[in-house]
Amino acid sequence: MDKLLKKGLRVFNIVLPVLAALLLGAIAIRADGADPIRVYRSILQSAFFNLKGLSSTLVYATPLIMTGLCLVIAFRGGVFNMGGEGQLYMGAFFATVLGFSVTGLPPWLHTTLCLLCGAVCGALWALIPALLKAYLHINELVTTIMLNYVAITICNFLTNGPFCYSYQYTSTQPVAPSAELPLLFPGYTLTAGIFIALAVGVFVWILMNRTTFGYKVDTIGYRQEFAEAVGMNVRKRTMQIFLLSGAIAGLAGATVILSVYHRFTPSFSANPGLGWDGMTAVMLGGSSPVGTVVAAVMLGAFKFGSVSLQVKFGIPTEVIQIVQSSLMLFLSIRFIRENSETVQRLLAKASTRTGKKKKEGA
Amino acid sequence: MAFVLELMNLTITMATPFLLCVIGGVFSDRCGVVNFTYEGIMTFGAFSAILFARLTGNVLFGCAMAIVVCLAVKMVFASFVLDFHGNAVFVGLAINLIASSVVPFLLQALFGKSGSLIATDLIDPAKMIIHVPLLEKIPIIGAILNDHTPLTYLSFVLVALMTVVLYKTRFGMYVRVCGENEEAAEALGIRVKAIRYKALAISAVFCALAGINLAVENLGMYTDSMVAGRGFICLSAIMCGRGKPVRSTMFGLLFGFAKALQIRITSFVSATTASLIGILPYVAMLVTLVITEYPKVMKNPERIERV
Repeated sequence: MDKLLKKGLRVFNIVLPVLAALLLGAIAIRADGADPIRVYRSILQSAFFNLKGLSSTLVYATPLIMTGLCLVIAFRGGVFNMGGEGQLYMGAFFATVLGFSVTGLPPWLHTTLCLLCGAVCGALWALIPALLKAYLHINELVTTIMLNYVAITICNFLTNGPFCYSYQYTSTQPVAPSAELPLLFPGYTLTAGIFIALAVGVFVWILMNRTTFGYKVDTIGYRQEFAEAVGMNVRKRTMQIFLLSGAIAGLAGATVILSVYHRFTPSFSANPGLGWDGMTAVMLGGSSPVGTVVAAVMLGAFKFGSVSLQVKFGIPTEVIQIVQSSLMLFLSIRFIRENSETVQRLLAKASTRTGKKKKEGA
Repeated sequence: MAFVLELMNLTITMATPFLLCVIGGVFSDRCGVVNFTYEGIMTFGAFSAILFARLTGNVLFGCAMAIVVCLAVKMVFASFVLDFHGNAVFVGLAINLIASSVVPFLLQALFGKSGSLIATDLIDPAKMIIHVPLLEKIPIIGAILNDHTPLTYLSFVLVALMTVVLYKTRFGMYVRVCGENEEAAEALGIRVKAIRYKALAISAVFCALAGINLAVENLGMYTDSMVAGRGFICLSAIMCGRGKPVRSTMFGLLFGFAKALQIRITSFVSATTASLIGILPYVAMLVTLVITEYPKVMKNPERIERV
């Protein structure tokens, strides 16, 4: 009973923010002169209730799953890696470069190399804030956010400068066909990228739930002083957490390019950015790998479903971003706190009732 | 020489939003709230100043409304953090994301535009500049300090004023006590929450002023990504300056210099290289953080700091 109530509370604390955010979005839609219920229904219908929509939903969800998972490790280890965006850009850009500069490789090798390159570049970009945090104790929140700006500026420069391909459209050369991730079903947009995302999901789940590394990460995130006191090398672990998180973000960038865009354009991670979307996913998923994957798919559906809003209802697509950002705002608080008075009273009541039942049974 | 003087002059112009935001932010930093909202609040300030100027045709009213809007958003932040016990980092970042979604939405919904809102017909940035004849007669200093906007001059006054408020008034003392030791403050009978609300309100007003400086005084329009990380730069200025008003604003000036240098270098190189120079302020900030944090680490090498 105790456990059930607590679980119920957790669900409640996720459902309520979602409802609140949807309500806020509904107000914005209403204010713009459309019918919120029809808008939401259309989003759901286009995202889930047909095969084409479902495939596109998964395409949208693929990078979000990974940027979410990169934060699962980071947040649980007490590392606020807000640099997912920058690491994603670095991974995406250099995977593309490898994708078009090398030719003649068998497809499986070429894609693997590109993906690896993306992961390595993401990790390298995360190395800067990791070193700054581990050795100079500089708050990683600020450094990672600043490095996002730096990464985006550098990628912009490289795309416009040394790697400029076409002057009408800011982009690099398209990657060689051997580097593209294959489509799973002809006629649908879904690519093998979803398997990469799910594989990362399984990897993170095993890492966090079945290895001592995951246990150490949780300990450091829960109470660093304790971790230090029992002799954990917090500095080394912090570096590992950072690099792993960066690598997953870089991999996410590489996957998006190799499966959707096939060339690097600086705007591929549209406002507010795939890295930030990942943060909504991880908050919605309550920092658990499975929850994050589910939340990322939900967000992907929402994103895909909202693409046609402008055409269908004449409302700006930014509505969806309002829903998403307010969702984050509402998720950052607990609507019902476990140790609040009402909950304690409920718990007490529940335990006396079960106690009575037990007595009656005896 | 003329180049250097011009660069110094531009530094003052570029540093104004930093100075304003930093001196306000010092209060929220010292009262013990992790405040990540500068970026978003500044965006709201810049946008609503232009929006209300556009809607009513009155620039001063627009500026007043910018302050009101910023205060309102900041109060949402404050209540989420102080009353509902949300994690300040996440609430702050959510506020930033809300700014970057609500503003484009309103632009699209109200004006059918995306990217920018122009009000140059109402505001002439050239007319905002005050030329002080008296300053002209002083060499060097005159060239650096002359021809700035009202808020730039005001920002220096405000820095001095707020430093006095923080160190010499009862309210300032309460703010510092709340940040340093919450329990002690409560034991003394200080209403911590109320003090924090007030400190955050101060920071909101100053962020609004910074936004007004960017949008109204310098450009006469709002464009998306006009704030461009300035809020985070201010945050790191406060971190480098350890929340001390004068030191933090000095770092604000330093970042203003980096920004000015970036703009000046841009005119000498090709457009693509110029875009790369854009990383200069951010890199300057990272290097400064390393330099200022290094001595602290040497004193206490083993601890990793938490947020």
